[in-house]
Amino acid sequence: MNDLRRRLVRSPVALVSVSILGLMLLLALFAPWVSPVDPGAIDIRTRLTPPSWMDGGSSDHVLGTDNVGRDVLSRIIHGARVSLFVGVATVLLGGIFGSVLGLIAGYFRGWVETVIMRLVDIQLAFPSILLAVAIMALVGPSMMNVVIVLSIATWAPFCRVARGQTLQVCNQEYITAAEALGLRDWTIMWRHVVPNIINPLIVVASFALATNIINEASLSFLGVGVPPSTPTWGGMLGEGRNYLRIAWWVSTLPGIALMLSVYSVNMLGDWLRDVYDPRIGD
Amino acid sequence: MRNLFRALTFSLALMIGGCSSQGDLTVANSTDISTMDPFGMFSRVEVAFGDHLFQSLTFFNKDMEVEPLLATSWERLEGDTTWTFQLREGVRFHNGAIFNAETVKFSIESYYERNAAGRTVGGASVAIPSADITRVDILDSLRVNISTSSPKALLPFYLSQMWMIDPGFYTDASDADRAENPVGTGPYTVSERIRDSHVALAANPDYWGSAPKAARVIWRVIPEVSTRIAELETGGVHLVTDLPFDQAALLDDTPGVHVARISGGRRVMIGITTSGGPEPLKDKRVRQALNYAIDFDAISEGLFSGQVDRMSYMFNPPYNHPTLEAYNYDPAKARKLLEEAGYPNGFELSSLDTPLGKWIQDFELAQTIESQLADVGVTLEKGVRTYEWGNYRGKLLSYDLPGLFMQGSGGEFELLTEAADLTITSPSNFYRWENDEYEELWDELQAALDPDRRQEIGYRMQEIVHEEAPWIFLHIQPDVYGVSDQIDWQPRPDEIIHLWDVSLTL
Repeated sequence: MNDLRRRLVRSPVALVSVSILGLMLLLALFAPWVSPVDPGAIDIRTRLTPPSWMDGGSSDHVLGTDNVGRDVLSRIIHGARVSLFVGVATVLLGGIFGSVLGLIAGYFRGWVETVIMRLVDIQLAFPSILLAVAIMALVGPSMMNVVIVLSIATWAPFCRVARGQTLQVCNQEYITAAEALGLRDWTIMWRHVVPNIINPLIVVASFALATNIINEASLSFLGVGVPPSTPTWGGMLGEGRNYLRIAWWVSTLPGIALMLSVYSVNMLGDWLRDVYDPRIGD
Repeated sequence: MRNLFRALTFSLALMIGGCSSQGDLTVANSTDISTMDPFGMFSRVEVAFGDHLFQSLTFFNKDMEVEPLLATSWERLEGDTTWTFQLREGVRFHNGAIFNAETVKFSIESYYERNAAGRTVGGASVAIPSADITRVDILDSLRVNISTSSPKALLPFYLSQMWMIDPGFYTDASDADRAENPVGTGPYTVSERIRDSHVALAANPDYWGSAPKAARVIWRVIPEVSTRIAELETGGVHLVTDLPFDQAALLDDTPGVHVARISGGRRVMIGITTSGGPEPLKDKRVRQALNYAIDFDAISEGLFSGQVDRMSYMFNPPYNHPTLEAYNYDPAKARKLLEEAGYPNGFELSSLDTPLGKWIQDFELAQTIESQLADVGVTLEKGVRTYEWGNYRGKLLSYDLPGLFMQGSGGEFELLTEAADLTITSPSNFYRWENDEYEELWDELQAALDPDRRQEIGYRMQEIVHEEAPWIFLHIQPDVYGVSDQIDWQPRPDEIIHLWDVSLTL
C-alpha cells in the first residue's frame, strides 16, 4: 500500500485523476449540503439564465439555469451522485458476479467451464448499450432497473479475465502443494487463488466503471434511464440539446463534468495497469 | 482562353440554376404522417397532408369560409333537410376513374358505415355524427340530393371534412392498401414514402384544376426543434412548424428566412380524468383547486415572453365567451378547496403524462406544472412521464392515461365541432366527463339554426366547463412557423398547411 502511494505521488496524471475523482466523490457524498439550491426547484421565470460571468448572468446561479429554471450547478453536483453510484454499484454487482463465475470456471474446468464460458460468449455477442436500451424500454425507467441492467452488461469481461487468471494460477506449484496438503477447494480458491487474480480484476473494474458511467448517461440521455425528476448528467445533456444554440451551458457543463470523470477513471485505470504489470518495472 | 473560362462558368451557372429551380418544396413537421388511409388520417398535420391527395365536395378556405370544390353549387330544398349538390365535370381520380354522383354516394355511405361499425373515420369523426346524413340520392350523373335527419345549417361545412374516394379501389382495398396507396382527386400523388422520414408528393399530371405551383412537395418528419431550425437555415427545408418562442428569436436575425406568427386555435390544457380514474379527481372542487394552483403568469413570462394569456374560454372566436374570467393563481384558495374536498394535506397521483415535442414546449410545461402542483400538496409518484407521439396518441384514444395528461385540442373555429369534443359519446372526450346539462345543450345546438341562440348555447356550455373544470386551463397555443424567403406562404389560424398554391423561387 505504501508502495502504491509512493508511485501515485510520482505520477502527475494519476495524481490529478485521483484528485478529480476524490472531489467528485466528496460532492456526491455531501451533495445536499454543498449544492447552493434545491436541484429540483423549478422557476420558469428565470429559465435559461446564463452563467454568472456572462451578460445577464446572476450570482444566484453561478453556472446558470436550465430550460425550466433549475440551477445547473446544483444539478451537476447531484448528478455526480447518480453517476458515481450507478458506476460503482454496477461494477460491484456485475464484477463480483462475473469474477466468481470466472473463478469457478477456471478452477473446476469441465462442463461447468463450458456452460459458463458459452454464456459469456452469448453475453458478449450483444452490444451492451443496445441490450440495455431494449431492456430499459421494457421495464421502464428507475434507478434500480438501471443498476440491474448495466450489471448484466458488465459481468462478462470480469468472468473472462477471472477464468484466464485462475487457469494460470492453478498451474503453479503452490496450488498443487495446497491440494496435496488436503485443503478443501473453497479454501484454496479463497486463500490462494483470489489474492493472486485480484489485481487484473481491479484494472478491469476501472475500465468498466468508466464505461458504465457513460452507459448510464447514455440511457438517461435517451430518456430510458433514471426518471427525469432525478438530476443526472445524461438527462441534463438530453434536455439541453435543443438549446445548444441559445443556451450552451445547459448541456455543455454537465458534459464537461462527465468527460472529466470518465477521463480520470480511465487515466487511473491506465496507471493501475502499469503498476500491476510485472513486465513494466520502475 | 478567357472565353472558354466564361463559357464554363456560364454553363456551370446554368447547371446550378437548373438544379435549384427544380428544387422540392419541403415542409418539416414534428410528427409523422402515420397512415395515408383517408379514414385514418386524423391529426391536423395528417388532415392537411391528406388535402393534397383527397378532395371534398366543399372546401374550408383560409378565411374560414366554405367554398365550392368538387361540388360547383348547392341549394337547400324545402323542408330544410335535403340539399341538392351540382358536381364538377371532368374530374378524374389518380387511377383514371371518373368522379360522379356514384362516387359521392359511395364515399359518404362508406364514412357512415365505418362510423356505425365503430371504425376510425379520420378527420370526419365530428362531422359525421353532427351532419347525421340519412341518405344520398343520385339525380343524374352530376347531381345528388343529400338528406339529413334534421335541418343542418352547416351541411356544406361538414362535407368539407369528408373526402371523396374511388369506389373501384376502396370497395375491396385491404387496410394495408389503404394506408399505402391513396387514390383521390387531389392536385398531388404520392411518389415515395419512407416511414418516420418523409413523404414525397408529385404534381398530378391529370389534375382537373390549375396545376400546382410546385412540381414536388416533400413532407418531412423532424422531431427535434433544433434540427428543424438548422435545416431551415441551411436551406434543406422551406417551412418548419411548432417553434418555441425562444428558438424562433434566433431566426429573426437570420438572413433568408423569416418567422410567421399567428394566434392559433389550439387549446392547450392538462386533461383530467374525471371518472374511472383516481378518486380525488372525481370531485370538481379538487379540479378547481388544481386550476387555482397554476401560476400562469410565470409560465407566460418564462416560455412566451409574457405575450400569451391564460385561456378563459374553450371555444375559438367568434364563439368565445366574452366575460368568463380565467382561473387566477391563488394557492390559498387551492388549499382551501382541497381541504373542503377532504384532502387537507393534498394527495398523490401516479404521474403527469406528456408527449415529447408534439405541442410547443410540452415537456417544459409539464415539468413546471408538476412543481406548481407540488406547492399545494398534489404530488406525483412517478413525476412527469414522456412518450413518443404515436404511442401517446394511442394511449389517449384508448383512455389509457388515467390522471393528468397533456392535451392540445386543435381549433376548427366551428362551434359544433369544438363543442362535440366534450360530449360523452365523443372519442375526443379523453376526460370521460359527463354533464347532463351539457348533453341537453348539445342536443339543442345540433338542431339550432338561429345564430343568436347558437351563440347563447355556446356561452352556457363554456360556463359549465369553466365551473366543472375537466382540465387545467392553460393557453391558446401561439403558432410560430419558420419560413424561407424562397416561398410566399401565410399561416392559417387552424394549423392547416396547404402548399399547392405556394411556389418556390430563388
